[in-house]
Amino acid sequence: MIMATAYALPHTDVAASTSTALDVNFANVSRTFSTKKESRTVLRDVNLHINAGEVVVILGASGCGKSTLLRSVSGLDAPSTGIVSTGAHQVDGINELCAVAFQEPRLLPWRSVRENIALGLAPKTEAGAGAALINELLELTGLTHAAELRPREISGGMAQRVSLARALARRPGVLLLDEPFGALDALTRMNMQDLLLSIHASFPTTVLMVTHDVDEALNLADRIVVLGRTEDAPGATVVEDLALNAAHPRSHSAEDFIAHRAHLLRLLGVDPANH
Amino acid sequence: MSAPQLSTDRAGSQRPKKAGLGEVILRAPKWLLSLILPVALLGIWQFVTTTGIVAPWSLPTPGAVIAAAGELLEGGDLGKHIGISTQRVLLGFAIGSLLGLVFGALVGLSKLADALLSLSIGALRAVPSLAWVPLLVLWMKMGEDSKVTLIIIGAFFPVFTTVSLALRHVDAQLVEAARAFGFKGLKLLRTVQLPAVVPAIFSGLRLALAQAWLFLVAAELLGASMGLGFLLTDSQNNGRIDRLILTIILLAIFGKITDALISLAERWAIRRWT
Repeated sequence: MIMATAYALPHTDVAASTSTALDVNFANVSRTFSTKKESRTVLRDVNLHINAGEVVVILGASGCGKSTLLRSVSGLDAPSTGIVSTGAHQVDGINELCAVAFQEPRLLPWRSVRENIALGLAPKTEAGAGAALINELLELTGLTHAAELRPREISGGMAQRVSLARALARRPGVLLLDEPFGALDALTRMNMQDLLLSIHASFPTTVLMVTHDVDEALNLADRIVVLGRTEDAPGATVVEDLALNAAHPRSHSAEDFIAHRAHLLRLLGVDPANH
Repeated sequence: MSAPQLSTDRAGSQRPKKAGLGEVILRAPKWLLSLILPVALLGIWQFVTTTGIVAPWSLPTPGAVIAAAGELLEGGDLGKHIGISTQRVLLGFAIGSLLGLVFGALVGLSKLADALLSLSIGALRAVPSLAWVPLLVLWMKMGEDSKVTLIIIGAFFPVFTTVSLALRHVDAQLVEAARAFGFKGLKLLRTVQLPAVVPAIFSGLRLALAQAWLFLVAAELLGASMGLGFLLTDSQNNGRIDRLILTIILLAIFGKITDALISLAERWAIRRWT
């Protein structure tokens, strides 16, 4: 893999300084959105345990509640019933143990790349240590040359790397990725997937990622969780929990890969014979 | 007069086709183009007044206006009038826009403040500026307070409106991202919301400054013993049309200079904060 070498990781202190990866637990999590006129159940009885350090990809059709599940971990949204916890911490309000990268980079346009990454630093980070960490992250994401540029001066793929670096600056116990590569072109997306794997190798935090791209899931995940509806009740719940053991990089022509792909596509309501 | 050089307005849009007359003219420096109309007007003015097409008692010659300026300058009156007017404008503008910023931030960020204040502020805004003058004169007499207060009222609303609206429309995704990283309250305001509305603040300030000059003349016309507005009424009463025209030209010049200064600051702010 070309990018793996392009982003060959320097022997940084990032890994050494990592806060410990945390496990994530969803216990009977449901979420219902209510308006005056109607109430709509999006998630129903989600029970899921994610081990510390695992890369878990959540797959599901559009609007099935993938992002809502992720937001319940970050504390941007709260479940209607049930409990979400990261490590020993039960999520209530913004969860500072995790960090989020969204589908859009969401960078502050008036700040340089470096200053945007600094936004992710944990509040009590000492200045010297913070600066060193940012330099390491810039190197890790191949952005050192762009550190002083503004977001409008860099490409979409670079902006998404900044967003990733900003999340890592938090040294999160759980890294939450909400379709982070969804808006990128196909080639950039592949490079970003490789980057994510190298980051995870040197920075072994728990990664919880949402996507609707089956191939992306099969490339990256230690485990794939599919959210979907069952016929008897409203709202999506876990309909498949698939462990993948193959080492990276994964061959797309391997038998497992093809079988898993067909199985997942069928679960998502797509005829694998056509794709 | 350096004002025309500084004016920001639309750069000539470039058309790819053949070079028409308009395009040839556009090749000249912009400050030169801006000066064409004033110079032409001056020429026409000179022509119609010296040839007697227009009687001198309805329009004096440019020379007479310059002479009036010289006369007023020598007596020290002109400097006094300009000084006091500028002081009122700057003071009223500073206080008014600061209040506009504070209340604009409050209404723009807090739904409670919005619910409590918006109707009342909107109603106050609907009162025509001149309606305040008799009341302010009655309350505060003819002194500086009444004039500066009127200018404060004038400068307040543009800043209030632009800031409160802009804060309500700060990119919700940016705010959410910052919240996800634990930013809230004043820190969120300082890090995301205020910087995001800096360009809007400056366009509000620019409008406020224009309003400040407007309200200055209103205040001085109706009760003052000094200042450019007073010079207008005084000249009208004494039939000094040369001084009247001089004052109008001075108002145009000072208004344009202050506007040009603030538009420079605005351009800097847009570069820095977007």
